[in-house]
Amino acid sequence: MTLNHQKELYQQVILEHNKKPRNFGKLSPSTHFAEGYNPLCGDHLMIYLDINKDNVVERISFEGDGCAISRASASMMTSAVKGKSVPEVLSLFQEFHDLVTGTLNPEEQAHHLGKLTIFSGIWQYPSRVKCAILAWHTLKGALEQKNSVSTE
Amino acid sequence: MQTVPNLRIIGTAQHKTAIISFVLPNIHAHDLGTLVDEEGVALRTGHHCTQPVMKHFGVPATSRASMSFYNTREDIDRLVKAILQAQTLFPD
Repeated sequence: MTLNHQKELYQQVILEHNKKPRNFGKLSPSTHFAEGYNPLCGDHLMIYLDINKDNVVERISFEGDGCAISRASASMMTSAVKGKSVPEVLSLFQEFHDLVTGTLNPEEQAHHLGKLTIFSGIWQYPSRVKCAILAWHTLKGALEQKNSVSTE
Repeated sequence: MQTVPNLRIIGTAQHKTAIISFVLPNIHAHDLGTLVDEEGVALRTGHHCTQPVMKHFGVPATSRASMSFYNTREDIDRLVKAILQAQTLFPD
């Protein structure tokens, strides 16, 4: 049970991104920004984006406080969306959302999630889904010019 | 619980009740909560709707074990064991 659990949720990739998050820090100047907050659990993060004239995410960063799942998810998200166009990012948001809520089976359905499928087991831990998705909701908020996002 | 390396108990008044809030470096309370849950131990984790107190103590969240008359020494041993096991996943 324990081994399964650790294998599902706390895999090495997640632990490593938690310890050494990619694209961590403030981005200045940035073209888009949003602050995400999960008031029930207290997770809090900021997403900064620099989107170029071709509507492509040229640079992205995040900062904030949160658990290993939320930090790793934010870190992996920044790596995944860098270099993608805004419509591609929005479609990836939807795929990630469906993955962590258990409506997309990465082994049976087509997707562009790549390494992000590591979060596929999280829908079995309902209280932790919000940890994984906060960064993505905040990113979507930044793209939609909503400066403040709450997952409640 | 104080035998766990680096465990810091928040709130150490004399004659306090058996409600113990604590933090560990490297492990966020929510991660600890999920990991000890798997060992059959229920902790409450997060800011406990007391954000100003969290700010005062300079922590984002705490874990909280609430002991009562029905808890046994074995329950506490199980909690300590589960915390030590969680620590192996989050080395310094």
